[in-house]
Amino acid sequence: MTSTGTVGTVAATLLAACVAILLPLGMATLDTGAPVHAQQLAPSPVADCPPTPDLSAPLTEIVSDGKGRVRGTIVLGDGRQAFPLRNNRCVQQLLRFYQTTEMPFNPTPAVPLPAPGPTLRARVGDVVQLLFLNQINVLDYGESIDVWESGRGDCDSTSAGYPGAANDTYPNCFHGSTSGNIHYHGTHTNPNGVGDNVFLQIRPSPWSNGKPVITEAVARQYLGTFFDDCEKRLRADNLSTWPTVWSDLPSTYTTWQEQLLIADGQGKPEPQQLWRGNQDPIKNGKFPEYFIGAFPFCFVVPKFPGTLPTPGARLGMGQAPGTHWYHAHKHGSTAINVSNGMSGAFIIEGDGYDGFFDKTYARFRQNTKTTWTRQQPTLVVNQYTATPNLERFPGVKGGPPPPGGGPPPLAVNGSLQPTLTMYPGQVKLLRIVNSSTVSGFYISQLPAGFVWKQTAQDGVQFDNNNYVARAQRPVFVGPANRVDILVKAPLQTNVYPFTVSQGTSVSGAQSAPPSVVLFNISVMGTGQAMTLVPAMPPRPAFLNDITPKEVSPENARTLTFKTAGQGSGQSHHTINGVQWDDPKGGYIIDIPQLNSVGEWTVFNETAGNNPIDHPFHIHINPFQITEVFDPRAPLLGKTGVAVRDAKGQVVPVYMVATTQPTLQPGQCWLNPNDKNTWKPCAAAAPSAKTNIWWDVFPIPAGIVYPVNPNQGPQVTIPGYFKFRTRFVDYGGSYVFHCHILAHEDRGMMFQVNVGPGAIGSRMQHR
Amino acid sequence: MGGRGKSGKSGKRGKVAGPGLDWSIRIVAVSPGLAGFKPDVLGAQVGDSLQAQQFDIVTWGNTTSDPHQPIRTDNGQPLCDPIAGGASSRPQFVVQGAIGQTITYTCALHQGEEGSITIVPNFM
Repeated sequence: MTSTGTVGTVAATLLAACVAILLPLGMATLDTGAPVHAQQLAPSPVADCPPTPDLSAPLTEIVSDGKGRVRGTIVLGDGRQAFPLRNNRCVQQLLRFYQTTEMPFNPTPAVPLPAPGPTLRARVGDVVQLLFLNQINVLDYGESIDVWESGRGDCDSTSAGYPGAANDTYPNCFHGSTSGNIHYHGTHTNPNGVGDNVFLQIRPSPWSNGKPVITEAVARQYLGTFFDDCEKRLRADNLSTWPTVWSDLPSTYTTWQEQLLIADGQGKPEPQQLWRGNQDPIKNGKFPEYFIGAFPFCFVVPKFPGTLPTPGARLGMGQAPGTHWYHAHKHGSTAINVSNGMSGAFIIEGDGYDGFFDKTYARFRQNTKTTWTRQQPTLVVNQYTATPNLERFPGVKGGPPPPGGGPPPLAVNGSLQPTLTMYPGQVKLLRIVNSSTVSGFYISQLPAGFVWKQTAQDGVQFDNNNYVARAQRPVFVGPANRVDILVKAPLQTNVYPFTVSQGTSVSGAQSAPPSVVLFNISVMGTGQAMTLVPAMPPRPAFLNDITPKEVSPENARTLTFKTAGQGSGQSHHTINGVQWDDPKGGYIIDIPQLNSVGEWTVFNETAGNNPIDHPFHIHINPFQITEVFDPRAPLLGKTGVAVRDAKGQVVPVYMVATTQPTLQPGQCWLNPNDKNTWKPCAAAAPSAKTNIWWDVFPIPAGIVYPVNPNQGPQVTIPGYFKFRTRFVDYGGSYVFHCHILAHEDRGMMFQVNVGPGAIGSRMQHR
Repeated sequence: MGGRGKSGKSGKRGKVAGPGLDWSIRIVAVSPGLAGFKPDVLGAQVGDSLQAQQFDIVTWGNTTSDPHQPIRTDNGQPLCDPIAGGASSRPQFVVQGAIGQTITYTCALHQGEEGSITIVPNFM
């Protein structure tokens, strides 16, 4: 980039930005020719949904160029979409979402269905280089700029009394929903700077004359050769976290951003000026948080063993090839943003997984120009909703009136109950991403005639032990979980419902009959009969099980998740009794030694009548589970379906009683007065020879005994699980949290500082 | 759970409309010194009455350079704080009232600027 041209444009754009801030959207336009105070009804916003594309139809993709890079632009925009209700009826809503098209949209006569963000498709070892543009029109959303900036304080507020009536306080409340960022969920990469950094807060571009001032062309001009420079450094060293400080970024870009941030703070008190918020981190060698309009993400998804300049150094882990995803992760607005549709699949291909399937099924490709796996459907499940209901009904005891009769429905790729077409005897690999912010779903079985096997969990392939052990076994896909399953269609043509149980706890979903049609499989046409692969290849060596010998005792941690006041309209979500950014501290876990292994125990003391298995998610490194205790677990039969007694009641694994009960085979006694019994029932323990990798796991909800407080003092028996993880390769600050995202927004999140350089880091709020 | 889907019971408030929805109303200039309220719904005109369910959220986006403040015509209660030019409203207005009721409002700062919200049954 030439500096002369840039300086001129910096000034011009800054002027435009200031003008845009002072003279916003459409001011000069008169909407004449219409009555000012007519009282006729506006057109109904409800209509039949647009036609639903088949799930085999490809989604928009940003794809690896095959030369070690994924390059593209992700635009955070907004517009009317046909928000799916039920019974093929849709209502138009202004939603925010990721896309590849810049704002503003050309008006269309029909309101389109929502769609996931563009699928990112990288190869292991690629350097991912994405220009992120925030072009949301803030006038579409009330008080959606972080209002701390406006001098007004803190949380979203509503005429119904939120946040006070919900007892929410800043920053653990819903707020700032037009600030954006991206979490690359499932990546093993740099959590800092321009990597998988969820502390970033990228404000929307100013608008002028109906358009965002900050466009791709403008941003790329200021960034100059940044992406080339970044790629060169990360290729040379997979462990590089460059750019680590503000001054590593191009001076043209930092000058531009500084001017935008200063202009944004004009007339505001010092604590509300974003540039002031950046100055201390910059001075202290930390990466700042605030940007306006445009931000360059650049990170490697490292191929094990990788490229490293230091003799003797080696990666502790690599990027697992598989089905990952990305989504909004700005604290305070993750729930509304993801449920608006700010999520998409992130498929990372590798020879050992995709390559294996591509080789096996090459002759079954329907298009020889691409690989077999690239022709397989990606199913992004979401629960589309608008503003969280707590803002509408704060403080309503017993819960708010039911919106539409229950939790939001599960949509797949933007549609309710769409169709996937297969020919009789065909095998497809379904990559299922549950991006829902609330519900999980239990796949207990497929319709008669289908054959299926799970091949990966949370983007990490199964080895053959797990592939065999989990053949046609039910699986709970919690919020943020991913599962890959190979499905073979029966020979009989028909339309078969893919039915699941929807819920917020594994045990609850396991105990309920499947009643929700996630999608339909239409078996029709003809084609060559296929078979499921007989065995899975070995996992990459870095995904071997973590052995007890690797675990560092000093890294042991105990966490307790708890929702107090469940159902009161004032529920309070904590970890170890504190919330994110608690002034008393206690919300940061330090792991001083990078490249060490830890074993953590995670309890769930939430024990209301409506069980909630808080989905535990930690960034950057996957984990392996060594122990699970679910006091509500149903006894499962050989096929994984809940066993029922003669009266049709689900038989529990744990008989809760203060005296020895009569036990069936497979059951255990859980004595509320003896904590030694609060542990997994050996008879129900999993038997897999190797361990599965996860990055999200629902912490089993606890139970209360006796249920009736009039029957004596109540004891809470928490559920828990234990996991091992490697804190390797990338130090820095990142987070773990509940993936029911309203809980995260409301405080159920902790920071992890890994490595000596990260100790003492903390996120700020302005 | 952030208040979502906590109960299958309808509670004392009676039958409630479908899923909570969000609506935007643009404040647009219609002639020099005069603005109007235009629901941000496909095909809506300035002055049209927004259809909304009970407990839907409504916000106003001010595309003019002047401040505006919608207040109810029946009791003078503000629906939100004054909205600066180029800003959106705060707090967010939660629609409460009987189905069939029309909440009419005017701008507290300018005469002749009127709008309304009609509470409709469950969109489902």
